[in-house]
Amino acid sequence: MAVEDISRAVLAFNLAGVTELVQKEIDAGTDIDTILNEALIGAMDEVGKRFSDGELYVPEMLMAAQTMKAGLALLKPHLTGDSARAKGTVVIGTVKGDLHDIGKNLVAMMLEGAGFNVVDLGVDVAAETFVQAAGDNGAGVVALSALLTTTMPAMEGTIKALQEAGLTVKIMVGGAPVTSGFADRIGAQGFSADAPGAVELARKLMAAQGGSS
Amino acid sequence: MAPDRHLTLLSEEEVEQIHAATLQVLEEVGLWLPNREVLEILEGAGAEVDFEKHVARYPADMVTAAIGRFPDGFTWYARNPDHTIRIDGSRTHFSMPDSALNVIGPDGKHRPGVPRDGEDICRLCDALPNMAVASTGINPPDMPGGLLEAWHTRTMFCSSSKAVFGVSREVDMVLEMARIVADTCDHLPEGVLPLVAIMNPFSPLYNEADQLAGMLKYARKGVPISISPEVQAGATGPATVAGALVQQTAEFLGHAVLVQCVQPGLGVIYGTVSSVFDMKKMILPYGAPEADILAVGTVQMARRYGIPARNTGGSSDANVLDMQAGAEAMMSTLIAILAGASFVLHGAGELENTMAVSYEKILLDDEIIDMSRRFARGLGVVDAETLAVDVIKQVGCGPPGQFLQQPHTFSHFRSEQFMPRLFVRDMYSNWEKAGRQTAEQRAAAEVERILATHRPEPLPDAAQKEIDAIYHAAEKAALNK
Repeated sequence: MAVEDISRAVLAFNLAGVTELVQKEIDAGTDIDTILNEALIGAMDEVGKRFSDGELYVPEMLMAAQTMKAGLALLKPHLTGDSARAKGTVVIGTVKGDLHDIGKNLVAMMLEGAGFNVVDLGVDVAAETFVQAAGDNGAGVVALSALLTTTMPAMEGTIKALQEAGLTVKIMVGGAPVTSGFADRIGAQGFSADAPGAVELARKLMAAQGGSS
Repeated sequence: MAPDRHLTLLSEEEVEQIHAATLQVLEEVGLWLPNREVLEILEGAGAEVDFEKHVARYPADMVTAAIGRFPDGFTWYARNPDHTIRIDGSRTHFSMPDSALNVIGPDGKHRPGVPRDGEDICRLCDALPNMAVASTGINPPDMPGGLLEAWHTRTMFCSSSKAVFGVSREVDMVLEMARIVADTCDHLPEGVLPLVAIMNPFSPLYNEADQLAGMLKYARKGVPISISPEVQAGATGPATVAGALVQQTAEFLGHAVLVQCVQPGLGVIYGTVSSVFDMKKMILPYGAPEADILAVGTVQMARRYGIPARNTGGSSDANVLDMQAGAEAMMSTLIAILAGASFVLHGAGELENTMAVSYEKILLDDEIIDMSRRFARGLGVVDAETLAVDVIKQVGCGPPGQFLQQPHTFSHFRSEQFMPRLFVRDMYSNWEKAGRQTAEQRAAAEVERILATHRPEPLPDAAQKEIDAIYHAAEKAALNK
């Protein structure tokens, strides 16, 4: 089946193959949501699983995500407003004082690969910027990253700011020094040690929000 | 690894000093070889022989002529052609312990080895890509001589399809089993047996009649011979490492010259199981750094003679899987590879000063071999592609530059990086969440998985029956003793 061919092409990191096959399905009139959910997002779920099993490594996960995004770009003009927002919006960034973005970028790509609308604020992001972006974009989840033990307290400050602004967003945290114990202490709703775990967590938190923002 | 990049400790001048001293020892002291046939062969080739005292002294030109006949390498055939290996210095081929009495099983219990352990150890060897030569690892206590050799040989041939070594006793029986296996193989050249013999001279400078007789049998059948002296520096050899290397080289050459007299051009390996003698505990510690110096010296002398070398590697004097076990195993494994040894026995899994085989350690040493091989590979090819200036330019300087998404990274990272299978790289909290498994526990799980699932390629039925018949005859003979 052609939808399965698209999945196989994503798992083979075959960017040209994915664009060609996705275009062919669009032209053939295949349901856009089917291409998105079963072919592209389904393939990225499999990538996440293989990564967690130790079979795939980070550069391969990224290459798969890039391949998936090439297919997604072709679908975007055909997505109705509903399906574009159906999975919800995640605002993501590295907290104030921290310039590390590799892990954050990886999580952002995997979230996009899972079909979320991702607003990436970059690095060294002030608490008020998170508050503003979460409100403006109607985010269901805010994801905070920190690599330095010295910037971990900025996570707590950002969470406070989000709560004080009265936003009902769920907050997830991650980064090398971050632990689930720390996440609990600072009032985050979730922690993930790796990117596929972050996708699962975002799905869970988004579902708790009622599926969308 | 390129031959000019091998780890060396001796300068070229020192290699020649060791060689000159060795020739002097062979000429002035000679070897005590209590086997009349051996002495006659050596006398016929120019040695000065005292038949009454069983001593052969080797004139330098006799030794030099024999060295000239050494081949630079040979093929060690396995019954499965995919497992056939070249012994020529181009790669370090690993095996496991040999002749331990105890095992430390997957349950962590230290106990005497039983025949079943030898079969399982052979199956692990068969399953692990870094293990090239089969070994049972153990001598089950109480198994009488005669039966022991039949058991070793049958187990190696039947519980693994990898290369097999010939034990130093009951040589006719070993040769017969090897012949039966050879007859099932299409890939062996006419008359060639899938076997390399393991011989250990005694120190200082002697051997015993039976082992010498066996050595003649192997040589006449064209079976290459690995000759590994075991000098205990300070006890059965000089206390200085240089002196131990001289005596060891004399013991090796004295036997290798004999082999060349019997079968000119037969493959030989210069091996070592020497170390310093521990002056408090009265043991020969294989984990000692001096053993590693002797290992490098052995490989350098072997290269001087244009032949492959054998080391120990992975052996430890620790009694349990602890940091000492890891440190000693890593050191000798890395050194064997860096020095360029061709064959390593007393290897993966060894503990308790050669007396124990740890199942988990076989797996952990297999990982250490991976790490060591990666280190020895160094930079690999250095060219425009690996120097990577194009991709460095592509990413540029400063944030948000990163290489993870570059196709260059995608296409190189797997071949560039050692990927641990058992060693832990999780941060503490993640590691804890994942079940806080140590490398040892991961190894134990992998042992259980392999032993539950791995079945070596069986021998053809008829050959298996013939080998079983030889084994059962040995069993019967042992009972009637």
